[in-house]
Amino acid sequence: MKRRIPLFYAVLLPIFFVSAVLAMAIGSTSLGWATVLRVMGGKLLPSGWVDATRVTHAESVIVWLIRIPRVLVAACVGAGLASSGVIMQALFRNPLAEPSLVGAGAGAVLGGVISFVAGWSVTSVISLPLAAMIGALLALALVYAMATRGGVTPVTTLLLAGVAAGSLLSAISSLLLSMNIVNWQMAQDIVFWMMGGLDARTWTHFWLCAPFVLLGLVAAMVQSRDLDLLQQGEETAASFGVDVESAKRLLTLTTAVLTGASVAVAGLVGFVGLVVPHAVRLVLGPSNKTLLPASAVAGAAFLILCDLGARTIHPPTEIRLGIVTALCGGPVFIALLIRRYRDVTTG
Amino acid sequence: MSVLEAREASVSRGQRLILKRASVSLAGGELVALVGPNGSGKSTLLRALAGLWPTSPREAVALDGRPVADIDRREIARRIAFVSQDSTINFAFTVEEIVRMGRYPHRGRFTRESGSDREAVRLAIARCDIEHLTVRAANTLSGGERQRVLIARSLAVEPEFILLDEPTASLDVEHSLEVLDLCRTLAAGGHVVVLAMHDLNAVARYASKVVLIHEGQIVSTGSRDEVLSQRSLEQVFHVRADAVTDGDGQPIYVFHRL
Repeated sequence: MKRRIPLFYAVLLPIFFVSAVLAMAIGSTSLGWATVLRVMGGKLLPSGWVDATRVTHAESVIVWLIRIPRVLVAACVGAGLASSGVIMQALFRNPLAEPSLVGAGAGAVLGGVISFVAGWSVTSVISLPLAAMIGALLALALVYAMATRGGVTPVTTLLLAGVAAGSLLSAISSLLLSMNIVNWQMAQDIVFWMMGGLDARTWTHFWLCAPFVLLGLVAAMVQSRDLDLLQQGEETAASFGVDVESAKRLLTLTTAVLTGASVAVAGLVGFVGLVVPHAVRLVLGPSNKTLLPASAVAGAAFLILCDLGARTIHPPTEIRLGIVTALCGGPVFIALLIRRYRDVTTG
Repeated sequence: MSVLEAREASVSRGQRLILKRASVSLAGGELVALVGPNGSGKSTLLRALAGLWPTSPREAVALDGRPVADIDRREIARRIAFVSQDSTINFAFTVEEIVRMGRYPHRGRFTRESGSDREAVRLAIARCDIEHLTVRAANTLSGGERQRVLIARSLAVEPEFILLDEPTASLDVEHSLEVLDLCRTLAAGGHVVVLAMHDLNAVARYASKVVLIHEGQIVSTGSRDEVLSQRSLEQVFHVRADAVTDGDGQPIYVFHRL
């Protein structure tokens, strides 16, 4: 599996960059890829290196203030969700686990809904992401408190508490939504946000999300060996020197940060955290040190492409991103499952 | 020489006391067999000795006089290896990757594998006769192969104490003899090997010390002949044993229900 790593990146990185540039070029106003590169060059390289006069102000605004932030946010969200999926699958020793299992997703949604209902989201762009992230962390704290007895948190209990808290928090979100359905504009905003989307994302959203995703990724990488061992069961991990309870706490917290930061700027985007790590594991094997960065890059590319699809499948309306990821991810996942059965039955 | 010791160690799970004031002392060169009926507390005692389960009093289990509860988890992991009875391996790690995990307690999070790490892994793989499996996905192995891989992982640690919970339960005759021979070699080399096991004939043949445990209590500790007496076999296992002597003068037990 180790030998495959260079090949994996040799295929994936070009896909990542090409889809990023494509996503910046294609849209309601189509721009050439040369224009996109020129705007980026003009902004990022020292002045004089790129002939900025060949780009109109409108083009510059579209690329630099609309498309690039959107693509970068998509990349961060994809990376965040995919890597938190890696953590969840290792922690629950189950390749079908996903980030929403510990209730962080539902908590983030409730935080977001509260910020809509309270009217904070209108007053400041950062209130929605901030509320979502706080919601994710509070939900996690609640789930952990429910699942812990005498300093020990069995993962099965954690899973059950997560699912229970997730349904409860989602119900509260829906309750708040139904109670405010008369305010049609707000209800529509909430519903759209819940379905996941990256429309009108700005540099502010990027800066709100990126540091947390980066922090989460680094934290996950630092714990990759503990994850390998936890994947073999808690007793095994403990007998090889892992402080199991503190590792679980830290890893769940890492997931909450990654999921929270992603839901905060993109709403609920399903299947990325489930399908991407699963698919990457089939190619590169289960070692988390390899799997985490590879899944992050793959998740970023996957979400950029899904978002491009969301914008261009049915113009001028945008399809919600969560719908696109489910439409792409669902069949992939079913295909993987069928393959798994076939592998099992044919030995 | 290191000594691992339990002094009046009790363990409870929930409301139930499953190990009652157990005292045992383990030092180099011994192959200790832990015998007793199902549910008698063999696995519990092993876990308590490995510092995996808390005991009461807290300092009841001590390594060289220091309570294991106070020793850093990684230091314990470097000195005491524990091979659980549950040999499931999750996810398609290769056999080599699994064995290399045995070196984790020796390295910092970011330290690269050293020559001695690689040598320990190679040796462990050779000793357990799994060279031909190294590139296989460990979750596709048979029960016996998996058991040997997990023993190899614990050998890669290069521990002073190796605690194995029924290591031969899923092995065929040849490989279970191989594992027992390996245990004997390790003990002869100065390791302390503790085996929880059911096969009393193998115990009689291999163990240098036998610990008999019944309903959470250590009934007796000593040599094979002291511990596996007719009376204790009848009382603890509810069997009558006829001892037949084989060619090398070793007893072979034939058991009958009382």
